[in-house]
Amino acid sequence: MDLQRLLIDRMENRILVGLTMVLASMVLVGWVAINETGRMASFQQQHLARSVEKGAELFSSSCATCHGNSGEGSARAPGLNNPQLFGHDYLAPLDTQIAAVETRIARFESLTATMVDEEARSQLSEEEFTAVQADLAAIIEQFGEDPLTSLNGELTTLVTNRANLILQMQSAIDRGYDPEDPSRMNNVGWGSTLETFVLTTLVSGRPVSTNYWPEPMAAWSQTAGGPLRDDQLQDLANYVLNWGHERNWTLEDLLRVQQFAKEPVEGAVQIVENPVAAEIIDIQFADVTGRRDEIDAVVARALDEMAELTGDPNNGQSLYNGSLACSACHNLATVAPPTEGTFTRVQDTRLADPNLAGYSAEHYIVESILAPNAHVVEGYPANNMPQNFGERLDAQLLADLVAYLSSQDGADPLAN
Amino acid sequence: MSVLPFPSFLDDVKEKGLRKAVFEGADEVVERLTAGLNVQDVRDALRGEDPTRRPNPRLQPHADGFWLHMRPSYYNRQVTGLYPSFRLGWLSTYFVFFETITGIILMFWYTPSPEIAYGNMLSMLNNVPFGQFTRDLHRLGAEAMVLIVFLHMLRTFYTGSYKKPRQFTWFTGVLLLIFTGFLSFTGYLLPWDQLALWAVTIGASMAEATPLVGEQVNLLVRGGPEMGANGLLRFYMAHVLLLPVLLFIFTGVHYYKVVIHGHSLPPREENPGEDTAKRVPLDRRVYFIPDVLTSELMWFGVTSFILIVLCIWFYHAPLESHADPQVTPLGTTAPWYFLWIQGALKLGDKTFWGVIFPGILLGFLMVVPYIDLNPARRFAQRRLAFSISFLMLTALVVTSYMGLAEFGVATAPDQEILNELTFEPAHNHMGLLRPVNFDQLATGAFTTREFAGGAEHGPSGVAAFNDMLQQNGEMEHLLEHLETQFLSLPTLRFTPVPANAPELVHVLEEFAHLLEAEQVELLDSWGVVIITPNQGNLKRLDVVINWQEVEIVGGTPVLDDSGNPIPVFNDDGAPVRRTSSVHIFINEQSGYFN
Repeated sequence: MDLQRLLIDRMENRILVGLTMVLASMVLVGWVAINETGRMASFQQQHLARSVEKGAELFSSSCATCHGNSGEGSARAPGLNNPQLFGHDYLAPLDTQIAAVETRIARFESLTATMVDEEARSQLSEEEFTAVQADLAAIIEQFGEDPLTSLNGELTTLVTNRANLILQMQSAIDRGYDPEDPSRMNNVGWGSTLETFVLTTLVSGRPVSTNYWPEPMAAWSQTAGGPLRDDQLQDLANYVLNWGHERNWTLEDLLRVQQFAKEPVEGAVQIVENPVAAEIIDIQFADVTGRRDEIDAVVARALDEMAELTGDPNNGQSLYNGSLACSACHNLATVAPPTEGTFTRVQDTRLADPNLAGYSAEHYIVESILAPNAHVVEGYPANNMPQNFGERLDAQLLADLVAYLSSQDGADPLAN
Repeated sequence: MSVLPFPSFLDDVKEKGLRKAVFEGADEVVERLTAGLNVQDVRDALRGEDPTRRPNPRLQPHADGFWLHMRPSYYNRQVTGLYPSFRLGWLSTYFVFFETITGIILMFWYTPSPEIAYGNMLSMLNNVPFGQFTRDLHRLGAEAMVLIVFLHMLRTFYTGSYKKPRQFTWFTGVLLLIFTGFLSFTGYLLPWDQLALWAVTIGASMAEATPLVGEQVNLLVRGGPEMGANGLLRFYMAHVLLLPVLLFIFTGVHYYKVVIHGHSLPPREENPGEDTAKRVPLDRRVYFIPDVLTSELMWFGVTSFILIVLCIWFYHAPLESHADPQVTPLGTTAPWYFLWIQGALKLGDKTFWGVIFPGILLGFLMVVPYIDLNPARRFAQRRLAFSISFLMLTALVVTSYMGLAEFGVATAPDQEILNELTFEPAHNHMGLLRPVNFDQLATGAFTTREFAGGAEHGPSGVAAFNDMLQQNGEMEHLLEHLETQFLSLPTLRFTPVPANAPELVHVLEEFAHLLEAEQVELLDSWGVVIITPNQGNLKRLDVVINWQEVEIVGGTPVLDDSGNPIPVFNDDGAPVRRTSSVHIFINEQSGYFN
């Protein structure tokens, strides 16, 4: 056998072959090392791309119902295919230009002031004086004999363009977009990346969002008791982020968004200048009988004040879901009667109560807000609802709230 | 008088001069390192010259040194070439060390937890220099080792080397074969991808079939009713601790026995019943130093080089999507070296074919040398043993084939076709639609009717298809069906595939062929591919098959007298049409089409 005779029987050939192979292996490993950076980068990209594909599948089956098929959002959840989420500032280019023009105007004014003011001029050295003259000459050369007029004209155009741009966004603004504060990350004060924002939202959901959405966002992570594994959440986050991948956001993209994020309004007690019923706050259930007259008098006064005003049901709704957080309890009929059908319920059920003889629906609602313990609905605990709305509301806010509750005149889920 | 307060090298320099002292010192160091060979001896050995002094200094390292005490100091010339060993035993040992070293490197990047393991794989691939390379080497080495150890056993059998006095060597060898199989199998699970989870789930489900204690064995192996965190940890511990320890111990025992009884000579060199291996005549002796040593170093270089070349250009360890116990991929199989058990399982009873049959087989293998008392080693005198072995090999090949997914597992043809078009990359293949260039995935709706044989094809076939769907109300059904798949389209109009998308044309042609090949079960069928944009660099592909249902009994369609399938009609006498579909998303950067 030739192989046997040539390689295996002759030691110098064995050593030669062995050495060659070891050297060749080292060269090959070196070659791998050189290509390693590129290989890892391309794997990274390819894996991200495939992760987006998996995320797309999860999104279409689990998220699209609320966030929209193409991420445009719906009344149930905000749009994610959304320049607001990615913090795109449509006004930024104009704002930069406006700032530049304003700086120039200020500079021109300060230079002219220096030239006019004898005293200031005398303090300049020869060189400084030449420099100021040169600056002025440069501005005049650029903007003509009357730079201030031409600069101001430019400023006016820019400011008009800006206003026009905002005008074009009007339908988005109506849906809750604020062009002056366009970044979701800034709005919520998120200190980390968009990716972690999306991921943590997916992991834990948005339990508190019941206050401003019809239903909370569920926790999706298995860690938090949800259905998805962490790698699936990462796929989903990659898919959502892919909407911003090399994207030049256009105005159409903004207008296509059906729903913008809602801001949870501060839950802290707001100071109102003229509280509507500061006298009757903090009345416990046991004290109601003793202070009945007082309650009646104050409620009657509040009703009088409100009669002069028109309530805004929209503002009432934001109060109800937002700063007053009424909807936190008035949702499932477990802690408090549900919001749905409040007005129907008051008219059909509550006013039938002999204790409430002579009450109008509005009277009952106002009294229940200002002195919740005055009439506690059977089956619900007393002393449970905050008893300080009398000092947190003025007549207008109360009117707004009542206007909103009056719009809840659909079927009463408790009626059977 | 010493130069320093104690005797030192400087004294030598003072006494003999620098040059001589250095040479003698080097000589001494080399002699200590090699346990007996000085510089001159090493030079002589490497030049292939005879030893210069007596007693032969080249035997000294075997007597005094640790590393060579386990190697024979000389071999019979008959066993140092390629034949009869084919170096398979040496290769098996090579792989034991090769796998240990690459495995230890991989351990630095791996955490045995279902939450992290797959992420570790990814970071190994995208963030660890040489990560992919090391993983490829380890995986390739593992698969090669199973094969090499098995071939080593075959060789030993055919040369009759297991016979007296080497029975116990063979016995430990069979143990090593089993350990190797289990090592490979336990390692299979660790990447925690779909391939791993399902191959191992199938393999481990055999444990359940163990008589009497099946449930307990199953719980013990998996650490729970399903493969989860506990199961992964157990497989990991078995893979990196239990099995390697056993493997090393029995490799030691095995090799000790090999040395004690000497390497067996080719059958024609040893007379029946006579063992001449240990008494090597002087003129046939080949000394370990330098001949066998240099030979082994050469084989080390050659084998490593081949493995490196394979892992750079030809082999990459597979990694599929994250393991998901909820999603069973179509066509799941055990690892190839366990296919024979999976095939045997299709023959009938799980307990018998899955546990007892392999148990008997391995048990039989272990005791072969104690049963086969025929002392002859020459081929002509071992006809019975050879016949049995060929029978067993044939059975192994046949049952392995039967273990393949395509054998004996009835899957509905529509599911097969949908899978064929869309399946995720697995075993280095992928669905036909995936590699279509992203630019050629034209937005629109396309039908196989454009490419079907018969009168209506091409653009007129598409027009006829549109008309047909409108007239018989199928269009509405199709849109409703897509709605259930989370794709809402207001309308749908099929168009011919654009001329600048030849790859898409090719896939639809193939789709049409697949449907045609199944036209008995998928009567009067049509298939469509609907491509919709999803994100800037992402498209959604829906593949739908619609056909007229035929009567099916036991997985095959019932045929009437003239050999045609029998359509199913509903209560109103209308034919029942069925729809099934699958959809995938394709990202421009996914690299399926590179």
